[in-house]
Amino acid sequence: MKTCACLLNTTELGGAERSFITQLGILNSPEKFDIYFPKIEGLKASEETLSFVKSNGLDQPKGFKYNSDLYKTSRSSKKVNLINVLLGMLEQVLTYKVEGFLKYKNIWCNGNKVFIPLFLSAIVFGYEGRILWHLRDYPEVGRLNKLIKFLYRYFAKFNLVLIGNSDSTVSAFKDIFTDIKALRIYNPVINENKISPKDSIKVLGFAGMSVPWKGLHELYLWASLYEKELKDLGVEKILVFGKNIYHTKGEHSDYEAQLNRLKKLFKSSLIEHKGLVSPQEIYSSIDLMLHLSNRAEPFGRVILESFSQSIPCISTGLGGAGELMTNNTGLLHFNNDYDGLYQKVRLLIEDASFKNKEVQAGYKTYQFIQESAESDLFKLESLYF
Amino acid sequence: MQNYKVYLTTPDYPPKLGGLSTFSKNVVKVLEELGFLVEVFNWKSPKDLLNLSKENIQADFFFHIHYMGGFLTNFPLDKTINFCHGSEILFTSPNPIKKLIKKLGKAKTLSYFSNSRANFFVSDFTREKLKEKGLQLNYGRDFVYNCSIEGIENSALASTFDSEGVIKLCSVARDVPHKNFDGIYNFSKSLGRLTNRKVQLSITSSRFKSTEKLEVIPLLNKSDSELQQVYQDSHFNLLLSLDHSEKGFFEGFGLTTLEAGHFKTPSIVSCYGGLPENIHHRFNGFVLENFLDSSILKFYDHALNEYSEWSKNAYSHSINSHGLNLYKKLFKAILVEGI
Repeated sequence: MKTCACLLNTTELGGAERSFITQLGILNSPEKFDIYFPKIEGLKASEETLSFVKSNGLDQPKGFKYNSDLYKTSRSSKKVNLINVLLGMLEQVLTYKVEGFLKYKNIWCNGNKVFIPLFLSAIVFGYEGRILWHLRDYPEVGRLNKLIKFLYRYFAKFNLVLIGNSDSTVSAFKDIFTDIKALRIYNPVINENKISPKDSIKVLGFAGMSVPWKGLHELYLWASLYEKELKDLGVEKILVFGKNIYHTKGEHSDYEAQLNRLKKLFKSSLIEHKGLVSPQEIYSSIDLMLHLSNRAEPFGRVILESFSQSIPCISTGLGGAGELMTNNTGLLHFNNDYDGLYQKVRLLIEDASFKNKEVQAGYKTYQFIQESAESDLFKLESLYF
Repeated sequence: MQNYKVYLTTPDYPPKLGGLSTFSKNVVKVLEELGFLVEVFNWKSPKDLLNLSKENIQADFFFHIHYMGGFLTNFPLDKTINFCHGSEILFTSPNPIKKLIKKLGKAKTLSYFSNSRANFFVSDFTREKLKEKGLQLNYGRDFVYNCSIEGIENSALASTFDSEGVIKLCSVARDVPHKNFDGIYNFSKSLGRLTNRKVQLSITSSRFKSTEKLEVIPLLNKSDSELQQVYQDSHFNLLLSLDHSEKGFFEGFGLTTLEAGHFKTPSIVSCYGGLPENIHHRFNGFVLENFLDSSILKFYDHALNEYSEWSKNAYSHSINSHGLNLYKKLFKAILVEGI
């Protein structure tokens, strides 16, 4: 039996899955890892996920049964029957046991959907191995985590290790889970198709989910306010990549409708929507990336991917994203500072030496993060696998 | 601009002094520069709004510097634009009658905001506060647009700050509880004690006494130009406001930091209200985590090494990121191109 079961958190290839698969690819130990994806009734694993796994030199992932009501509670804006959810949780707890996950020495969970029922299963059935809980976001300060902490302290026979994407998230974990080991593993990016450095900046890019905390509304407002100035600088387009792959309830459930209203009030001819495309397509079509998150980001993959392609990135640098901007403090942006954002774009366009300096600094960050990620991963492997 | 007309209501307008008065004047100025015809209604009490005869008022847009101007007058909401500066959006008051009235009117008030054309909040904090009180946030209607003031060209050299001499602080605000003047006084005293240096605090209050290390200079009945000189002469401007939302008060943004910034004087602010969105930590000033000695020492340490950057950025940030040209852009986009 292999040493570790690696559980993807969704059927779709989002940033978290991409990072996880890349990390497993770096470890390059297919003999140690079985990779699984949640198999939900009516939903197939995306072809993109399967081919990305293959391209990282890993064995084909296997599906495991995942209760559809449970899956929908966190990924849909529709109301779900609470009884069904509880029954779903119970079913999932049993499924983990029945499908043999608790026979693995290690189980590495790439998110809460797969972790929470596994955690309960491990408690109920007295699992004595190790669970690596790879949180891809900041932990919530709420009752659920308090319950996890309580159950772990008094009933667990297994070892729990928390993994975070940045020092910032690990620090947040340690504030809540004071007596559980927490490790940082940066998200590496694969830079197989290095794009030639761009001489000029004509196309700006924005890549992120269509949710409020990514700041897309700020981009629309800014593009409208500074349309003339940007065109005078030679900017031809602002390409917006991504969509809302999580149709979840909450503040973002009608965000797209709100953006449509905003666009009627603040018009801009610069913005073009490109939807969900490959990273290769994104970075080959832009000259400058804008990262406008207005909340602490656990990491900021888009920043690192930009840097790896020698594309400068202006970022708010909040949370873990700040750890990627330490060499590029000249490109830090303050939310709602519309003129400040314009001034930074202007400087990058008009001052070639400033731009080159920032590009080199960004590439240095990319190299450092790659090395750190690899070193962290190999350390993890030597400790546990 | 096709002679569009804006009807603007405000509780404060020159010659009355104060931030809201200045803000109103600036909005009118920008609108007129854009070619709008502006009619100003300066109301002194809600009664003035209730008694306003609307039959002869025709306008393309209705601007309300205080939302009450629209809430009590029932002008068409699809043409209504509100400005929210801070704690006026709270449904509470130290006055029990006002508190009751606000609470009874809460649902209607939220509905008013929801149906208006646009709401401009001076900070994310203020917007989130109204969301907390029940507004269904709409990013296509509820915008954050930080304060702007008229630029003052200032060719004077930036102040320097080093490890010797008197540390000069100032604080220009109303002496009301949430402005935390006691905190400012205590901070100044602590700074003197911890650094073993003399501190001078110029403050718009006569309540505080000088001590061995702290010289207090009350700023009473000073003209604008005198206050400008105070900013110019100070190393730091202090705005250490507290969040008294439960009593009906918080700092929405903190306009004095922009005024100080025009004189290359960085500000030290507390971490409450909209202040951390105004002063960007260690860029154009310093955001205190708390008022403990350790935080004050941290501030001092950074200030000794970074002051010239803070001073330079305080000026350029105030001029560029908070100048009236931003309102010009905003109004042009939303009123002309957005029609």
